Amino acid sequence: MSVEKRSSRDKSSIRHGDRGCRGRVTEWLLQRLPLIVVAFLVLYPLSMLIYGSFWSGTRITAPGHLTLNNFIGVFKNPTVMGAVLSTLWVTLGATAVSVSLGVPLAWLVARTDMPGRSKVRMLTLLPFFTSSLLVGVSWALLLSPQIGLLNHVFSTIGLPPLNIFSIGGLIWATGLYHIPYLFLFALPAFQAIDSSLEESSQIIGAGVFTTFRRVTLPLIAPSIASGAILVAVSSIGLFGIVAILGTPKGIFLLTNFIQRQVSIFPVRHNVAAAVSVLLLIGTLFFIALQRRFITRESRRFVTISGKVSRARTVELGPWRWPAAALYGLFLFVGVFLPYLVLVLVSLSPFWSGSVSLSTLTLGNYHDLFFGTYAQAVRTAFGNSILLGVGAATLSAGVCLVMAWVIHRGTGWFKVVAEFLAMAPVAIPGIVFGVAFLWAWIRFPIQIYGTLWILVIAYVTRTIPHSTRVLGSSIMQISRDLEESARVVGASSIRVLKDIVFPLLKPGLLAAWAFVFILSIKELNTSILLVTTKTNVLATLIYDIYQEGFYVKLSALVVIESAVIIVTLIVFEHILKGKFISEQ
Amino acid sequence: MISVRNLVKCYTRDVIAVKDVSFDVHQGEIVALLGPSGCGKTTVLRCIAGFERPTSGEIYIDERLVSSGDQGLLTPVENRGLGFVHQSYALWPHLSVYRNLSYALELRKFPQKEIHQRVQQTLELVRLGGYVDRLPSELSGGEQQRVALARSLVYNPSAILLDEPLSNLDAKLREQTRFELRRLFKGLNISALYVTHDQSEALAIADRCIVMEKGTIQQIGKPIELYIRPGSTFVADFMGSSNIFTGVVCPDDSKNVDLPWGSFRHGCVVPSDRKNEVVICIRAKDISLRPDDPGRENTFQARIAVKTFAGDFYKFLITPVEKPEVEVLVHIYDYEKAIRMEEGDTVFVSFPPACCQVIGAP
Repeated sequence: MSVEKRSSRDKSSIRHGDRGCRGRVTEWLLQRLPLIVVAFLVLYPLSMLIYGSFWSGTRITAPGHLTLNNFIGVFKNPTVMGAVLSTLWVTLGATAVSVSLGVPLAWLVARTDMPGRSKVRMLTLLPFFTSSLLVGVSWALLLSPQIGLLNHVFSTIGLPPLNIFSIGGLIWATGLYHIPYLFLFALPAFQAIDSSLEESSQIIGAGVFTTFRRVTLPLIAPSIASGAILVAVSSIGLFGIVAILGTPKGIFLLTNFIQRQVSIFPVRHNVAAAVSVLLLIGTLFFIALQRRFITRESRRFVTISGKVSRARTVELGPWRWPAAALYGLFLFVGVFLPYLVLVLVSLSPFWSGSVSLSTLTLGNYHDLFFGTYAQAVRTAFGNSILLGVGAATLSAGVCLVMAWVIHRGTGWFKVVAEFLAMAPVAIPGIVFGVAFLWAWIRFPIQIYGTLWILVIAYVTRTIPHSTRVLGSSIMQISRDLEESARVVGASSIRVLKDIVFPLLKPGLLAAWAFVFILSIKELNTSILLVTTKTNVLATLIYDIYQEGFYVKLSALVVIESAVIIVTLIVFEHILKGKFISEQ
Repeated sequence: MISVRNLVKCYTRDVIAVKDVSFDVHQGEIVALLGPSGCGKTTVLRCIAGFERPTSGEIYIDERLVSSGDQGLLTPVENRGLGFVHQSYALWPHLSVYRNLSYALELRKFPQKEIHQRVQQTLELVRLGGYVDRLPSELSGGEQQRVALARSLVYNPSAILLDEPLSNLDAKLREQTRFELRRLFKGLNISALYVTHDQSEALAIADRCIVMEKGTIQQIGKPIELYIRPGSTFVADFMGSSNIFTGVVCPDDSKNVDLPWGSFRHGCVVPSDRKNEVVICIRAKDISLRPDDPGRENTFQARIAVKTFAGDFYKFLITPVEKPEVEVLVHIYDYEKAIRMEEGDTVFVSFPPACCQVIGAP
């Protein structure tokens, strides 16, 4: 029955009413056009990247022929092999940090009676929306051996200083940055656990702790694994943190190595492409791992899928306040301290690791907009806002149609759309950057060097996320809702206007705001695609960092963060507190 | 009033959901479309509503032709003036209860005052007077069901179509709601076509039932007629609590039918061309059990295999001594009698010949 019924509904959507030829043509285009556009956005640059990795010419525009030498050279290059190892270490280490912190935090919020647990959610998720540069810069200011604020504190109480410019430092900062990913995956999993499973364990004699270890943890393992693999994929491709904490001290991961090949003379686009292909393969490995794991595990654990069963609250008893204190300590160190040090430094005339309240000044902010950097700052600020609005609007439109094809389409469109919409997840930002260089520098229409290349990059990179957010909006609109509007007398246009659009609006707004925020903070791809005219906030921050002006840099990071936080607050308000939870 | 004539609906050439279905729903009549899932009853309903384009056949609403396969006519859903209650209720989640109801009236450009009045009236009709400002998510399942009903009644549709409207309610509420629906529809004198797979629901609510199987109508009749005189094995079986056996009509006495554990008299006139194998139906409540031999016709001995208490009666599963692999279902309403018989006892089973019906060939 159900199969029959579904197929009938699919047909009825095409034949509904007496739509004429024009309706058919619109439908035909709506099904195919977004697929063609997205295929072009994703597959064309990727194939150019692979082509580039076999090109003998060092520049994209240079003459050459196809060769294997790039890959041979890469495997013989000790710097690259060192970078591969370091990347592996940082990726695994950061994943371990975010799992070991993110899972307990999620458990405390989801399942216990810890005081204040309903209020800490948004704060815990804040790093999800902050730029990786902020994390890098703030931890450099906190734990630099010479000028670190925390190191300053350590030395006054007789502790040895810590060095953030190290593999360990990279692991710490990268792990901290990714805690929200774990949190977002583990929280709903903890909430969806059927408490009767835990109760059964307790009734046969297992204590609270044993039950957590033997029952709860294995049940949410698939969700934790998904979150962990997402962290690994993101860490592999993250440029912002290693650019700040690694490059200056000669620590190379694959991302900053690739960036060097493209931006430091002599430029080697072909080597960058070859290393990008390696990075892509590494990412695909993790994605494949996740796919296998999820399909296998989800069959084993059918008990925690979507059933409405309220998870029981665990009473912490005397541990309530210590738990809250630990959580507070995490929020202070992991979320609040980075902002605090940035604000302090941005208000100081110079920075040497200690704060003197008497000399605090707004001079750096004034300087940014009216001093030596005024022209660059104004251009970058304007570009970022313009790009944010443009990319967000375009992405919402494209992804709405994609999501529609995925959830309401039929046959191969659906399958192809699903694949294309998820493909960018597997492509690290910096790899996108190299691929876009190869794709657009020689393109007959001039796109490289304009803001368009950045718009296209941001839209492409946000397709998976926006399509998912909009897809869940579309899924909420069952056909019954549309049918019952028709039956009470609404025409199909009225149904769109009165029923479909209002129900899509929260999803559209959430997707829009997410792309806007991402455009403001995006560095991984932008770093390779900007020119002086098309500089954006994130790349300008990186430029200023390279010149070593910490105080001005901090002021600019504060401004960038302010734009993001204001956007967050505004949309959280518009969407009645549901923006962050929609993501 | 709804008339359906020779309705056919094919999805592909091979998948025929509805084959040549014709029936009427008269003014003020409640008709139930009854059948197992996949029988095509929902498709018929969706064709009438206009959600599906029939392959052929005609549909009339108040004698107006709204759908004709031959003339290629298909009146859009919104111009048919019907009411429809989805199984899922399909309340618009972003609109309050009030706006869910008023939307239809706004589309019809009613003045504000009248909209207000009508919405209030209709909500009171379903006992939800104070709920105007609630959102659907703030209502219980039963309340949502009543809002969905009110929403499809508020604009005085010429008929109301219901697609399993009670299937998402819990058992007790479902029983109560049957009464309410019938009272409501009769009070408004509205025609209703009601799709359900639950025979007791159909029997309780409807003036007439249409039993469907595999896209065709098996039988149309008043609930009591279907119950007492099922026209086919399928209907007898679907109406429930009947024992259905295959037997052979006695060659020398057509008033007798031979079952594997004895020969019994039946209450039907068997036409001469149906001599050999027949299907007979004996309702569970028409069979009586007693410890001693009543000395009547149609008596046989059997062992009590299982005995369960069903509230208003006891259910017995008995196996004839002569043929222990056959199971016969018996309902005993006399508690006193039932209490005295235990599982494992051997009892005398009897039933009046009039209650043994020949309903066709196997």
